[in-house]
Amino acid sequence: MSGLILAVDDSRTMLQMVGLTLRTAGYTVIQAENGQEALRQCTAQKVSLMITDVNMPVMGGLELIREIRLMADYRFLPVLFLTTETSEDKKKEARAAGATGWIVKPFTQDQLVGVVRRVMK
Amino acid sequence: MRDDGSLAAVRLQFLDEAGEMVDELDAAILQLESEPDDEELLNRVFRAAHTIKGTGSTLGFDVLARFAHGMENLLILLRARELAMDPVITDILLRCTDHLRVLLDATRCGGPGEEDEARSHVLADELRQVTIERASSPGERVHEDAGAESPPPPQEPAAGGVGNPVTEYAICFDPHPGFFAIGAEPALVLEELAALGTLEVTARLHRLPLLEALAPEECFLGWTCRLRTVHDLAAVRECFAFYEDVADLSISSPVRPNGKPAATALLASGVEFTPVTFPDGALEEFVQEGQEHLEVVGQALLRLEQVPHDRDSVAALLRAFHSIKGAAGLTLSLALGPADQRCTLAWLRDASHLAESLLERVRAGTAAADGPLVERLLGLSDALQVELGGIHVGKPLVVRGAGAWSLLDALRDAVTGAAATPPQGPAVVSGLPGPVLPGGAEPDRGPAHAVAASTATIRVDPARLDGLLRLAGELVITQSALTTLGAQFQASSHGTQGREYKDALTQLRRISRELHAGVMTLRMLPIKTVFQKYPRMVRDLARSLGKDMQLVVQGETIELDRVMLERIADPLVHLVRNAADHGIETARERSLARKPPTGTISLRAAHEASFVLLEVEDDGRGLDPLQLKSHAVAVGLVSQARADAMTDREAFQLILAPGFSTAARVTEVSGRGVGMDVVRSNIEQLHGTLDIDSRAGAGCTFSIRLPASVMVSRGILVECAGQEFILPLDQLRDLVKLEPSQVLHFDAQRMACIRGDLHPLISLADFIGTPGRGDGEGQSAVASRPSAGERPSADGRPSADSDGMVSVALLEAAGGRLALQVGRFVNEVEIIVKPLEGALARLPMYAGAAIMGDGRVVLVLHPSGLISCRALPPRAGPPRS
Repeated sequence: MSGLILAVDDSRTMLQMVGLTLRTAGYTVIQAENGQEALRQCTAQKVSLMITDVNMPVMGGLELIREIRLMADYRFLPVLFLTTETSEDKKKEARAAGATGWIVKPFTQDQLVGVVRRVMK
Repeated sequence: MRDDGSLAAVRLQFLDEAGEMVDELDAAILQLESEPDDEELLNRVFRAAHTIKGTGSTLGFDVLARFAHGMENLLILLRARELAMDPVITDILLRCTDHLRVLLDATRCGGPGEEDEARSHVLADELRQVTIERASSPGERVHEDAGAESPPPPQEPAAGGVGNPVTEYAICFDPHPGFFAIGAEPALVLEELAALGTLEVTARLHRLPLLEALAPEECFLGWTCRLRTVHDLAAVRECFAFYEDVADLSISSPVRPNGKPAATALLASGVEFTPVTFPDGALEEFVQEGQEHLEVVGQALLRLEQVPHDRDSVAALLRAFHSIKGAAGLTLSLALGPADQRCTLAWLRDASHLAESLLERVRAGTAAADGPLVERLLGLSDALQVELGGIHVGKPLVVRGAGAWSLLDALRDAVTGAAATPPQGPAVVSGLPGPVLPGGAEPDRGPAHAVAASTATIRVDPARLDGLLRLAGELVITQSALTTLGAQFQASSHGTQGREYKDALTQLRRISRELHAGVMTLRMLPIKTVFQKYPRMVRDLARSLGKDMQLVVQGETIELDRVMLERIADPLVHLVRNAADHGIETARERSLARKPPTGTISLRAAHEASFVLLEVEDDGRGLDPLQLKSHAVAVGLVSQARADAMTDREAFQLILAPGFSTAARVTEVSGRGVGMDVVRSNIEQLHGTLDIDSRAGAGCTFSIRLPASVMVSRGILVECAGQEFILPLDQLRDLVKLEPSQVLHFDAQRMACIRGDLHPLISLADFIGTPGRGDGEGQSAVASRPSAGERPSADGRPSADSDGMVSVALLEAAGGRLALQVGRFVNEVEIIVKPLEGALARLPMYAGAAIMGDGRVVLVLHPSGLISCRALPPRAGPPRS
């Protein structure tokens, strides 16, 4: 399992947690603190999976997903979004933007790894 | 995990970060006080609380997170402008941030104490209070914390699963074309599924378009899976958790390990099992309509087989399938509740649609309407029949046929022209041509072979019909009682009143008789309803027996009482199968015998006097009386002497005896021949007769005669030896009173000379025994009337009634004619004949019993039974006990 995962969140703590968990599971993880930063990272390196928060300054998660889907290399990139809500509206919105799946906060480390395995080879 | 230390570091980091955020919050709140509409500020404030809540709860700081959540709720309203910033809100928010600091400090030092928690609750209540008071719609935007759960991780493969029963799931997974566009990968889904147990996967290619139309970035594949697992449904569903809205999915658990069907109803388009209801009667209506259309399909297909490319047949088929498709779709749309694309109705609709498409190609000339097509459509119509038969209100609407879905795939292939050969049908005898008609003549299809113009009919509940019939019957009886009373009334009255009464009664009588007759006819159905499944049956028999056979049907419009139709159906089937199996010879035998290569089985219905005649005739081997006799003797059925004395006709009847079988081998088609005695008893219970005629080598005819209607409405009441009996009018040819000189003797047989013809004369009294001799046949109910005085005389001379004449009724029935001597004729009556039950029903002489107007019960005689009994010598002495 050597996929490159990009974690996007304006909370450094969250980034650290996600990074920690996934590195332990064997993945390589890079980070960004907002959508714009994330796009830059995606251009610079080949990312295999993106996990992003929704509420972020500069560019939020949904916009990020829309943008990434427009990039030729990333049209079929699996994208997970982090959410504290399970409302259907939120999910629909994210789905409409092009998200693959979701993780609800709070989540355990096992849950995170499980969902990652579900959407990434 | 090496990160206990690291996790602690993360936690510390969070606390620092949170501290910064709280400071920021403070500043922002103060700023908001003077700039309450600043969007950016509002967002910042919200995000801060949101992050503290989210990350805090992830790291396990529950008290902190809960409190932050309470703040967040209010901030959501603020951000949404449903709450306006004002001094009160500013104040409470600032108190909240202070408290946050307190909580953070406490957390750093090992965790918030009780005091801190209590304070949290107080503030939270205040927050709620403010929200309720101020917000325009406080309830809506507040998000509850409970229930927010991540999807659980994929299951570990079951380790042994001890104690868990293995369940089998059938899964249909059809991603939508846009499946890939959301970054999803079907292979991963299937892998996750496979980790749950044992998985068999089959790809479904039915949506795969031609290459030009294939968009490589869209998903056109689907998968059918069978999963055997110890995990429950929730675990299976979990694999598809993200994809409910981008795929068609159905999961069904057809069978539990103990063999009981799982409790599924219609499946929702997601993964839920949801019970679905239909409006009252909708499913039953659909089933009935569907079966009617399928009948048309069956007939049209058989015609098409014999006359390939026949336009009318193709048109009829198109109409029928179109109707089924429409009805299925409509019924599906009536479902109250989420309906699913995998349920029986959807399958029926899709199957009919595909059949329609196939036939459209035929009509457009791009496909042939020949043997392979007929085979395919026959197979489909059988499958449709199975599924239709599986629809029951209250039971799951799940497709039952094992190959049902792949049948649709095969059909799709056929429609797109991919397949050249029809699917393998059961027992197709290769090399055998379809039924060849001698001389190329068209078979006699009977009166209604082309597209039948639908006659206006309505559906009636049989139970209601029977109720109506009962009422009509009672009306007749009551009317009859009135007539009797009326006669007495008239006798004792004078003048016009009596006459008027009589007129009214006559009117009433006429009306009630007509009403009863009319209702009776409602119970009649054309025998076509029974006959129509035979052509298909014979065709299939021809195939499976490897014989060339055809069925000719006549007289389908003859009507019979519905109950009788039901009961005669099985015997008829048996006779037809017998004819096919034992009667018709193989092609080789037939050519050796210089017969036409195709054997013919004829099914005929006709009226005959007061009977309906049903005949099954074949032009096969026929029956050899000598062979039958010798076999009967060999198995001990009759003595050699008796066998020698038998006529051919009697010999034929031997095959009806239980235990008789000349079949050299048991065949699957007609078994051991034990059915024949059951056939006979079925017919007898209907008060019918079965005659057999045959010419060895030429064929065999079975003739069933059934009374045209079970109930007789008019009869003649007669008296005999102190008892009353009724003779049905429609089998009564004549009523005469003879001079004793008109009764002649030939040995022990008396003959009556009636209008110049001689008829065997028997005495009813001889059948029933004589009064006063201990036979106890019931006391005379007419003791007040002068006794008929009928007594058999010891010397065999006819006894006469009181005026010296001999009352004779000339009966006519299937077996011939019979002159029946009775005591006297009483009067004509209108009666309802009730069939006898149990052992009494076996008495051949009685058609039933009638209830008279005054309630007494009188036995109704059965002329054909009397006639067949006359072979027995009349009872001369005291009856055996």
